[in-house]
Amino acid sequence: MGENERKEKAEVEVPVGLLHPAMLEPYRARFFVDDELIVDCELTLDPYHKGIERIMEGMPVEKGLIITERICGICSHIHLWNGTRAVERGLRIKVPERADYIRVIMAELERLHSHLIFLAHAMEVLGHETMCMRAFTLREDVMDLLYIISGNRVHYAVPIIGGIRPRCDIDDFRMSELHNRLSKLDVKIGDYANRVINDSLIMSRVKGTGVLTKEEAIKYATPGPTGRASGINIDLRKKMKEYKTFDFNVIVLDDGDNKDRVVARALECIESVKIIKQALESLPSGPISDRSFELKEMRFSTSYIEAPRGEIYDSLALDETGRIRNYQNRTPTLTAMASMEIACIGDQLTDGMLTMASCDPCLACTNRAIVVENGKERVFTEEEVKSLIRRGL
Amino acid sequence: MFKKISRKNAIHVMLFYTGGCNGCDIEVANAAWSPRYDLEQYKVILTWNPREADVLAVTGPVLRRTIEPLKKIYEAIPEPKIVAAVGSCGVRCGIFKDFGGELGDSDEVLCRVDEVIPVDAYIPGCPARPEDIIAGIAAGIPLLLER
Amino acid sequence: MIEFIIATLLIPFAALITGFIIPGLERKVQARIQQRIGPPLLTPGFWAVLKFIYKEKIQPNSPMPRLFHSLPIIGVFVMFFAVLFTTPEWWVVNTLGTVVAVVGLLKVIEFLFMAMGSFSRSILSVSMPYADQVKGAVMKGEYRRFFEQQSVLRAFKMITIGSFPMYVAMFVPVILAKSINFSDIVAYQGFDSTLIFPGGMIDLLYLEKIFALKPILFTLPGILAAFVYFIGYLMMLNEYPFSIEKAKSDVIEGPSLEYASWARGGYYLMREAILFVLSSVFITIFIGLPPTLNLPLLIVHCALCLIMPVLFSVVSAFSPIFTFKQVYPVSMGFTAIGFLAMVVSLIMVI
Repeated sequence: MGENERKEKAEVEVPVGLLHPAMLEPYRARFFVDDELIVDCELTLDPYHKGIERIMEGMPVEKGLIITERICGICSHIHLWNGTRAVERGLRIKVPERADYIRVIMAELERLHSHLIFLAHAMEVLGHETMCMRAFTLREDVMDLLYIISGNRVHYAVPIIGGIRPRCDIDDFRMSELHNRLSKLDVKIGDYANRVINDSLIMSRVKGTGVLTKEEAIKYATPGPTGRASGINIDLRKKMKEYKTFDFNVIVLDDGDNKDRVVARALECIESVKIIKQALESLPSGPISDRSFELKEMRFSTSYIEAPRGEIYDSLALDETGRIRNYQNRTPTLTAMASMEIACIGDQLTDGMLTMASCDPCLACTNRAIVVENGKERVFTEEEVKSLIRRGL
Repeated sequence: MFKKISRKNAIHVMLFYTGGCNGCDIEVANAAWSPRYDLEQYKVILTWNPREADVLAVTGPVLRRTIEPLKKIYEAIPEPKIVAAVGSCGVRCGIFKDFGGELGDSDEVLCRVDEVIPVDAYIPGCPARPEDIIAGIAAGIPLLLER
Repeated sequence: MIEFIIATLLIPFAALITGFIIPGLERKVQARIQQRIGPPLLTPGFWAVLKFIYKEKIQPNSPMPRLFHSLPIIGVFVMFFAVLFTTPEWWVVNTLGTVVAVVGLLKVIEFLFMAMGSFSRSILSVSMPYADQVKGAVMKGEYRRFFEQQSVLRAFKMITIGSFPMYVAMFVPVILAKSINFSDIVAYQGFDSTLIFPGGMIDLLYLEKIFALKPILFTLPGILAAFVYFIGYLMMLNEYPFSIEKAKSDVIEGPSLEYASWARGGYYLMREAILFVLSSVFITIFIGLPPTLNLPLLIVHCALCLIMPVLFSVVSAFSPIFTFKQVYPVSMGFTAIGFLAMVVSLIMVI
């Protein structure tokens, strides 16, 4: 039976959404089911459109970059880092080495916290409350570290153009605290992952459900750990100059089912701890920021960073007074969710929800306007976008 | 008498997420009920059903697409009920209305929570810390007992 | 006659008090496993019910609001009679004090969940004010199904498949005692239920009867059947891991989504009653200790009734929700064990 034939059979729709324990963020999922099996699925990710890119048009750059942090409350550091990085690349500002190290430490801590939220959330959707709570216990340890460095639990505001903020410098006290608290964390996370993998009840649920093959993953440009769990060997961290000095493995798994997506993140946590430990050991001394730059007109500058969920793309231009022009941001969940739309077909409804959660959706950053023409969704061509930009959006 | 004691002893909190940045959302739904803070020991229970709830915690500013659901969900909660606006965005739209560039602030972000439904407890912070959330809910309890 | 009336009043009251504790105990055990403190013992079971009763009465979104609201009350009453059927004072009413009568009442409860689901139209799925069927959207679903209706389909499947283990297990003592009457099953295990009233109502000496018991639980078919009964208990209650009917991750709470205020209190009470009855029936037929008018024995009975909820909350803390892919084989497997227990008991009888 071909895919199209199967899709025609659906007669019943189960709409899930805006407010649901398994999704947390408001999005609308419409599952077309045949009794209990999902035949087709449509996700609408736009309830959440806030128009952040538009707010930032014409804002002073340092002020505007603070808003980039508020794009997402889980991966806030990455957004700010990427925005700053785009400006630094465009203006050719040299960032001190120490600042880069601290940025990396923050990013990896954030990856830990984000992946632990994912593990907890996946277990919650699975119905396994105990494992969910255990993951949250681990997460609170990471939150403490983030709090020690930055002074806030979520929006850390660590990077600034040219370096990092002075309050986030890692001094001796923070160094010893980080060392102490990190020493057991990877063992704890390893134990947790072991328990999840060896639990046959959990495995019977996640094994073989929500399969996303490598071909599909490439077709839908599945980013980050979700793609790596389907066998795409891409990790932007391997290409970034900030990560060049660190030794870590890229976790690539082959099955592409829910189990792999859970396990990939658990293993990535351990790699992150490895990176943080290396960074703390070889933390270079020196200045933490170089603020001797001049804001001047900057042509279109772009930056790609590997966020916890995949790659983030930021691009912006500056005018002569240092105001932001045409800020653009593309986040990983958009394509990750799109590929989950395919992955959940053929599973039970309960497994379908798990598949949705297993790409670690974080929609705060994702929402886009949808163009509907003649009853069909449409993507703008490059020319149209350019003409829109010329008209000032 | 029993009315007050029973209300004090079982409080169901429901989270509605009108569109912040995930920060407050995770602090409310997850951190405050995680083993570290464990709101359940203070007899506060998380629920996802408006028919069961006493306290509606709203995180985030009200967006164009979430204003109608917010009203409906508020109506669905039986009296007595209190509403807690969590985070700077819930309290006064936070960063999305406070400043904007040349095109002004966002059109999609419509208004504060208290312009749509009456709010009893304001829990500021970006994001609100779990301690603040616990304190905020505790501050709302006397209101719940009076009604 | 007088003992009949006193039993009718006293024993459901004892059941109610035990029922108030059970949900709190359940949450507490789970919370402790999750390394947190958890709610006080009475909060989820007693204060929550009382609070809901004091809340504003609202009109539910339902095609038949009154019937919908009366369903939990029906459930509580059905369970009220199920408790009474296991008390020795009611065994004078012929054919009511039998396993078959209790099975019949449990079937009613299973049906009630289906009825609840089909009369409920919660705001959380289809009626959420959100533009779904717009130009450009996928337009395949001709019928838009509420969460509750999805949960009704599951309830129907659970009735057919999920209740096997429990009923199979319940008939193992019947085979051993060669009778469906509770009186015979209890007598087979050495409990003499006669002549408690009026002299022995608060007589502590009756506690010696417990030590004279020879419970079916400690025989080979008994232990197998008890194991199967436990799984059936989880399925009947729709608790983790068999909570597919009210799986939090897709249908949220399933049939009970639309209950508010006093009706929700009623729903909680109904669940507590089911919890008590299923444990109580287990104690009666597997240990041979029915809820009698002797108060010390009644307290022991109620205390024993707490064991099973504690066990099930331990099990459910360590298990995810099963989808039907797992429910079918698990149910079949345990039914097979149940039949094995039946065969063993048949051999023992012959």
